[in-house]
Amino acid sequence: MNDAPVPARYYPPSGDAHGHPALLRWEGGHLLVAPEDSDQLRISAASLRAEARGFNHSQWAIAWPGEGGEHLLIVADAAIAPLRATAPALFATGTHAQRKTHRRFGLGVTALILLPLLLIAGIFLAVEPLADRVVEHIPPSIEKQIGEAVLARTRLDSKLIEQGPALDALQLIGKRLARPGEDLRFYLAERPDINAFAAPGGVVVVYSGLMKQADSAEDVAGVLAHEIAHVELRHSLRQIVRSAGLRVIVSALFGDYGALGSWGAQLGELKFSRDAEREADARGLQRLAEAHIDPQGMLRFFETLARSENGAAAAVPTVFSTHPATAERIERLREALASHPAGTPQPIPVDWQAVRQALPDTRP
Amino acid sequence: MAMDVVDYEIFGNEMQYVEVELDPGEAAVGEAGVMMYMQDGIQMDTIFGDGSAQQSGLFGKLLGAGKRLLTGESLFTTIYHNEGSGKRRVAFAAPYPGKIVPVDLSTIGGTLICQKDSFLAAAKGVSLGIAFQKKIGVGLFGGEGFIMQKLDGDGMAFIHAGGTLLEKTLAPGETLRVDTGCVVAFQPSVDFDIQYAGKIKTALFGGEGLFFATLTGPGKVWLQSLPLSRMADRIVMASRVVQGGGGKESTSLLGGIGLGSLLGDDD
Repeated sequence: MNDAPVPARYYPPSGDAHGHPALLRWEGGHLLVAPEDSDQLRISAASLRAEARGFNHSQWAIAWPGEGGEHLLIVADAAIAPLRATAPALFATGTHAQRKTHRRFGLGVTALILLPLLLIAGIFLAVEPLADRVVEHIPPSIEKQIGEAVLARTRLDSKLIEQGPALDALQLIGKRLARPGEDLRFYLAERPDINAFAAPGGVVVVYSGLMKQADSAEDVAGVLAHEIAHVELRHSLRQIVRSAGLRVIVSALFGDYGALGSWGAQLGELKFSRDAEREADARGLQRLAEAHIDPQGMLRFFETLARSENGAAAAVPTVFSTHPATAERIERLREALASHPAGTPQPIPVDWQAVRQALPDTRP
Repeated sequence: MAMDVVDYEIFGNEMQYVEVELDPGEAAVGEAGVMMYMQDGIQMDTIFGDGSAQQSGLFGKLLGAGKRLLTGESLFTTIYHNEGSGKRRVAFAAPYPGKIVPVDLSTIGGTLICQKDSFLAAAKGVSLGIAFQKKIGVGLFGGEGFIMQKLDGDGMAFIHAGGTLLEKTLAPGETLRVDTGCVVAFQPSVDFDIQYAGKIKTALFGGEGLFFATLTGPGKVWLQSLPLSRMADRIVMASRVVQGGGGKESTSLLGGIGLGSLLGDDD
């Protein structure tokens, strides 16, 4: 193939900007240049210089000094192969330059793709310790105010049960679980869901559906111990600060893409709650032991929950979807109970059947 | 691969259209949405990709279409065949004020690099590809972005430029400094680079930006006097609707955050 002439454009030193089509080939140690409309030239290879140039170095400029100035040939990269095969040394520098351009571009593109990903990962990693720092500096008075705000919202959503044996039983269990000096307030909301939550400032809200579903006071004590652990560890405060922080950062970075912001915040919450729930389970168990309450109640309640999850998937309380799978939690609790046998528990003096009957029948 | 030889005529002054004459059996490709009129006997056929013979097989077609998507054009091109017995005409109109540039690819070595979005129509067989600008600095500051369009073949191609057109042949080593955004097309032998404007005062108050684009010969370059983006900016500035300020489009640093969302999801 080395004999096939290579198409090129020839620019003589006269300053003719248009150039002339020409054909090139090697003959011995010389380059034969045959312009379409003038005499053939014969140039010694030693006087030639070649460099890659043009758009993305996709063209070759072959130049040599002659009478009247510099002569120039432009050859497309796609056609250069036969010339390069015979005199690789002439084209070595240019080939190197071409490779460098491609490599740099590849690096640039990779960086452009990786940079935003790294930024996002950085935000997620930085928000947690930052939020925890902030939480350390929030005084209890503000925590209490947030708790009041959450409570006020709960009052809007659902009716709070203000009196009756169920509330009395809840207060009694709560009092046993509270440590001296702890300011905890327990509220009973009239809602059919099996759910309970802890707000900052020691506010614990239990849904009537949960009380109705529980088999004994010890079951409810288990759930309460778990929620009090959330308060103790300031989990909900942390969660509020984290998701607010994520929102601020994400919207400052990406503008008003609201969906992106809440999506990111939710992702953060999901991971956060899984770890937090495990922590609260462990702390809750400890608290039950301190209060001499039978810790089997917590386990029983989870088993009840697991049954209702299997029975009717639709009835699963939404709050538990961010919790670790119930089966996994049961397994964990079993292990913890086996390794730390409880002392002799003192039963909670409550007539549980009466409590259940006193609750309005709101099962979904 | 033989390209179809296309006769053409350009009409109009500042808002032009090109009328292409097709012999029986000949065909032209047009960018989707630019056809103005066609005579009887011309069949329209919308295809995926650009209709050049290089794109055989499903994968090739998908690749071609994906490339077109990158350059901001539609996934489909339309082919206009002359199925009649005599010569028939089809016309393509430019989408904004400017000039239509007829380029005979065979006279310039077969390849033309042009600004994305500038393709209007071509003889069937011209392949429409993309060429990444691989110099990072030029891609960022050269005014044409990283994605350029590459036309390959040896037939006629029609590209479109804004305002008045300058077609210039640069001698070897001859350099032209151009305002970024004004480069429409050039031959691949032309070095397209950027040059720092040099003086901070000029850069800030001269209104030309921090960089010039530099074009170094040999080779042909086509420049436009009015990039569409510049005209669009002026139109938007002149529009009373926007002068009111604010509105829905404003994205402030703390745009979407209110106290409500801070306390919005605490349960």
